[in-house]
Amino acid sequence: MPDTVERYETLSAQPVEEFTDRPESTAYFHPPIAGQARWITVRLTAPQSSAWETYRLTAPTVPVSWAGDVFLRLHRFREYPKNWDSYGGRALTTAAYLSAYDFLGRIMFRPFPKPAVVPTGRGGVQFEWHLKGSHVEVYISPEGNSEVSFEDDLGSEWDGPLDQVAHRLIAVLGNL
Amino acid sequence: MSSGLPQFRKPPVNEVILSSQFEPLSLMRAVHIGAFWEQVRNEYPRTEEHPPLDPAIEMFGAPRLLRPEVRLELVDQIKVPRIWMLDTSGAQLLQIQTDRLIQNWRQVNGVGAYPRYPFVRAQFEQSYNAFERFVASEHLGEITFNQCELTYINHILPSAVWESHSQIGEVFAFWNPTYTETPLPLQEAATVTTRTVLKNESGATFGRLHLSIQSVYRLPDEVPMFLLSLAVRGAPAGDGLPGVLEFFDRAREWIVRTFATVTTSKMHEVWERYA
Repeated sequence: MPDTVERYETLSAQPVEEFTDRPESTAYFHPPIAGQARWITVRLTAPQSSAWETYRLTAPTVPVSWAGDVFLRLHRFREYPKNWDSYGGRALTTAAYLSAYDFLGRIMFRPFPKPAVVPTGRGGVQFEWHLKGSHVEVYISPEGNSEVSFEDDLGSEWDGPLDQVAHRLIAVLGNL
Repeated sequence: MSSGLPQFRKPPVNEVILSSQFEPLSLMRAVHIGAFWEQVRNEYPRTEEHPPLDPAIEMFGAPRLLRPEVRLELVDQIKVPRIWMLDTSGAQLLQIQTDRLIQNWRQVNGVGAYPRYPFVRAQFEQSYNAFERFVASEHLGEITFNQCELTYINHILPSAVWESHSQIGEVFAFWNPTYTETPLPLQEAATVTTRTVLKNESGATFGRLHLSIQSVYRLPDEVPMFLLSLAVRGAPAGDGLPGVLEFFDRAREWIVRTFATVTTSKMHEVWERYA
């Protein structure tokens, strides 16, 4: 839509020399996968408003090292063949992929630990953290809806749609 | 279904786009699109290659936060292109990529009478049926639709009603030229975008209407013009082709009614409204 504006940021701690002659100031980072030299472009798109300038002053712009790996996994899930799990499993649906991609964009600039990312047989995907006695799961349905559930070894638990509990999720992940 | 819709003898429609999106046909390669083109080559003798469109799904619920979006791309990924297949005039356009089939009608160099929605819809149906047969015969998988989009692009040219962008209030009914008690300088340019969630008769979410108005200058003659784009995007109304066509029919009703609502009765006279 025309109400957005793109800005290119130097996001990477590992800028690549051979790409620096491109017209836009784009940055790249290595996905940490052994033997796999795939490049990923990262750029930010923001609403066309002064909010962008405010954001630039406060937001981190270097992605975490595991972001590329998770992104590639989502790509692979999308290319899974039909019946990939021998139980009639479906590839990641477009709606689930886009929601997972959006979620990754929300967490990849914060110093959170790497999640386990697992596909579900119905075409959804789940992000999981099981650390320090806490168990956090973000389930993205084949329709693209995101649900968060949390429990810890002390008996505390809560859940809810991502948009409603995002602040709680961010707080929990920040403590892992 | 379309009874009671506003009707115009000379609507300013410049382009109509019927777009269907489906789960990617992961086995489809560029050569398959070429093989399909052989089957429709008589109707669409010209081709062009374009980058594939990114997938898009309308999501509903809590409003999105005002925050930058992140875009990640695999630089070394070889993408199957989007192929344009055009008729000799360039007015009829069929676009194929691994997860979309798009049918366009468009004016070329401002020439060509709008053949009306039923014609473009029939073209889409014909193209899809041919494509579905091809996909089945090549064992490329099943087509599972996940999103549809109907877009009308209107070129609103100067007339007896207006001649300068500053007269935007003569064209669009929601623009009140006397909105202030202090006269302001005339507007040099204007851009308006709105998004509206649409519900069906039962109250369920049907899709989202994207309206966009831009004051522009037509090239190459630099005549001032308002570009009015109306697009409705959402999930198909049911399974398979019938669900897609039903979505298009409903979307068209929303678009036509919205067009008549946001434009002034003076402009309706220019476009010869008769219903």
